[in-house]
Amino acid sequence: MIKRLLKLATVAAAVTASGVVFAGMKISSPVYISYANGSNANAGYVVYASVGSARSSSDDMQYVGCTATTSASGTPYGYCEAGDATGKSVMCSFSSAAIAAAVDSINPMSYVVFFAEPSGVCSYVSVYQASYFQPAVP
Amino acid sequence: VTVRALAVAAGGGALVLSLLGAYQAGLRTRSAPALAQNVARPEAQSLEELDGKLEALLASQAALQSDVASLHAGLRASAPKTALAEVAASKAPPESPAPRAEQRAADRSAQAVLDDSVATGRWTADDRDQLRRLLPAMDDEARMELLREVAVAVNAGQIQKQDLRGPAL
Repeated sequence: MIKRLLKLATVAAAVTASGVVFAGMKISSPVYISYANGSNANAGYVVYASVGSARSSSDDMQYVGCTATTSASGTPYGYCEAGDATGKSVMCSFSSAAIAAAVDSINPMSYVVFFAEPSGVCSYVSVYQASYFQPAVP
Repeated sequence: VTVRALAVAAGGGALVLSLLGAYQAGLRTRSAPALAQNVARPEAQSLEELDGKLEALLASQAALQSDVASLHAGLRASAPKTALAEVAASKAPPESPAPRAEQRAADRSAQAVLDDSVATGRWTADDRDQLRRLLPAMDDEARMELLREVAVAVNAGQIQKQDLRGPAL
């Protein structure tokens, strides 16, 4: 009987301790698309999105991602795209090695920001990695 | 007697010593100029020889420089023009080659895919698959231009994914 109580106490302590693991700052950052300059639709778009939040969103619309490739001649190229909960999609392309390097760093914990110029070119791609971003889970 | 004898002996010794000292002093005085002459003469000869050698070396250097200059001039004149052009080309920045026929064909096909998609307003999995196949075969500049046009069309709502889940390209 005493041994059984000890086992129960051990399990209870483990459950209590495991609860600490889930503490810490957490941010949900669904895909957010806005005009790059106020309400000016001709100024291009800026996209903010957490990979994990997009994947974990309750709707079936949100996504964010980028890809970078190197051509046979050695020229990098790629694009970024995102879709928000309303069905709005934004895309931009790039041929910058620096942007390609940033894109390569995207992972399931990343928070991605990119500017899509009116010309369709990505003028800015930034990738944040932080503990408070939601990890991408199935 | 003994004391007197010792005094005489001492006086004679002193006299001998003083005479010997005077002789040595005179010897030093006489031999100094001769010694200086013997040292100075070889130095003068060496400087003259070195001057001669230096002049000969300078003359040889001038002759060698002249030979090198004439060799360079001859080399420039006799070197094949193609070799010189190759050397110049290796130092020049590389120019992007003109698109090959295969690239131009891929460029045209990819542009047709986009144009058809814009005409229908739909971007399908078949469109994506065609571009995925064509993009690597395209010319770099044409590829970037096409990707830019796809982005503009998407952002303007001219094309929308139709039965397509996943990446646009």
